[in-house]
Amino acid sequence: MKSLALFCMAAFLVILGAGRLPAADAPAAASPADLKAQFAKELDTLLPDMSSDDLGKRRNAQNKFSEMCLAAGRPGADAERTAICTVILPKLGAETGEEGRVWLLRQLQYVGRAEAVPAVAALLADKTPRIRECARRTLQAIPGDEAVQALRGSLAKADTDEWRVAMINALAQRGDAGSVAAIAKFLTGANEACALAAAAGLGKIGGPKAAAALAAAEAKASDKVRFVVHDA
Amino acid sequence: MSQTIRLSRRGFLKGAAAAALVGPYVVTSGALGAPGKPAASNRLTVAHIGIGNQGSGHFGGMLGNRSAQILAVCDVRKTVRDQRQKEVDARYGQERESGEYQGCAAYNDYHEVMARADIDAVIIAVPDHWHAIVSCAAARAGKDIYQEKPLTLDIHEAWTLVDYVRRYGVVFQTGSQQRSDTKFRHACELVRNGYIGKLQTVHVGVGGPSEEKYLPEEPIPPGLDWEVWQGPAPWKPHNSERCSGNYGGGWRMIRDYSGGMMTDWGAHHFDIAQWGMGMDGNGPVEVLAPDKDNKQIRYRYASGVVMYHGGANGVLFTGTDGKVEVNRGHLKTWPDDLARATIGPNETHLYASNDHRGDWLHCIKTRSRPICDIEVGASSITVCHLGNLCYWLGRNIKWDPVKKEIIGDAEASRWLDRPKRAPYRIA
Repeated sequence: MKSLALFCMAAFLVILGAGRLPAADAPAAASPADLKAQFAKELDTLLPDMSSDDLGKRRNAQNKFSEMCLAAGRPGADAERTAICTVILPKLGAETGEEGRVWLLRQLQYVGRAEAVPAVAALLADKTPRIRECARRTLQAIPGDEAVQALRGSLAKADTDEWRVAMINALAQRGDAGSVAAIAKFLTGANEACALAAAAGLGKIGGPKAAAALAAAEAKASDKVRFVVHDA
Repeated sequence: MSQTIRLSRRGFLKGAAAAALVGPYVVTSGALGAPGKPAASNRLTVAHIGIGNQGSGHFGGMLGNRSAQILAVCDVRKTVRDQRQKEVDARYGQERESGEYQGCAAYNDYHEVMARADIDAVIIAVPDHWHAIVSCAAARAGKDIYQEKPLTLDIHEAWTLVDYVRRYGVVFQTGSQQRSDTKFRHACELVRNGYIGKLQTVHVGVGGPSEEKYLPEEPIPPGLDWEVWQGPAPWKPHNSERCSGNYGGGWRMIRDYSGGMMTDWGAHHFDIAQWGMGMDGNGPVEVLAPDKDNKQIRYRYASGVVMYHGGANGVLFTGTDGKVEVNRGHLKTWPDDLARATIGPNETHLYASNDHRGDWLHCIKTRSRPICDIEVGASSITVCHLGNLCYWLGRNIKWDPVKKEIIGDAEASRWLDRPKRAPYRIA
């Protein structure tokens, strides 16, 4: 049994070394712990170069890891997908270089799910604006209510109008009907950019609640916002 | 910014017919028109948004078009927009007794174009990652649109743009100008009318997909609004290669901005393939990843036809009884005499246009759909994007061309709608 496990792991390592898992040859025998260990080993090897000033090294490291992530996202390979996302999460902090963090967040945008939300959501408050924005786009793409709750929570706590607009855009693009109330309150607020984003966003979300919110705001909205309200 | 007025200039003019003019009024020769030149009120007023390599061609064409008037140019490069503004003013100034004209505005922000009720139509030739945002804004502002191909950066944008164009009733021409070339039309008519028998395969020879590019930071040149140039794309430090309109490289080969040659040339040749197959508004049901027998992707259509990415630049249709190979300035058939066949009066005749921009201008007058109407552009670019996705993910993609959905692959589906950098959005 041990030799069989070693054989499967060796086969898996060969496949990983090629940078891509063939769609039809998923290493079904590898346990979640084995998968996680192997992906962690690969990431530990590649991570330093992901932020390298040597653009050739950066490209090779990022491309190789991305191929693994994209392959792990194929249908029927959720164990791999979960494993690779799990090993990414502890590396999202500031001890990883900015370019590396941006790249890891991009991979989670492609293949992350609920397991990634807490770590990514924490980055909505990162001190680096670029990281915050990458985290926001990642949450916009991750399916499921956990990501929505994180975006809504960030909207509620937002302390700049730019960030409010960014959150409204993300929730609207998800078409999240549950966010209508959270977005609608900006329709008649003091900030025009937020009001415009809210009007456009409710139009994207659609549905009776969004329509009712838009109708209720019409009389109180500025001319410019009212135009977008009508359109929505 | 002034409030956008929904009522178009032409609509206003129709409604104002009953108004009476009071008091002395000097009518300029420009207003009355001149021999060979329509009166000002009958000229189509146009703005150009994005005046790089491709946009320059349109700009030159419209500047020489006596039935149109360029009222504004818009580009995030100050030197470009200032230069074009001067050219417009100089050209129109030549037609005035005073020799002077200063009626062309130069904008950095396309919103200012959209806010002008006196602009009827826009020609959009910005990089691909901006296409959908600008065109949707134009549609909402009631402006007719000529937009360069490839239609959009992702599939969701394409079909959102269809919704906008239909909702606001504007005339939209996708810049896939090969459809206005007689050779391509004849090739597709031969196929559609069964002159090569039952169609079996199509080969489309275009280059490959775009990719990530790793470029060193360079100083931003004076007058370039790098923030707006990037717009909805992920932020990257400036490099001249990123924003170069170089036909073989530049932004076209960078995944955050474009789909590479699969979309840049694909929007031409996959478009012709779709036309020949009668698949406008429709598409393949599966895209097959490269394997040990096929180095490039293949598309499978519900009809059984298989389309191969690969071959010499151009399109090759192969049927049970013959073949048609077509490219710019090239039409070859097997057997030879097929190329000279005349399509009969009772056979299928495809939309005939010999001037792509002229077709658009004509449709603006007649309020009809031009040869590369928005749905044509959307279904063609969908083919290109699905192909790229197949290359990037390295696996087969099953597609529902009616629902516009990827079947059974949640992670691939995320690529249908790429998150945009804040604050940019389709408004």
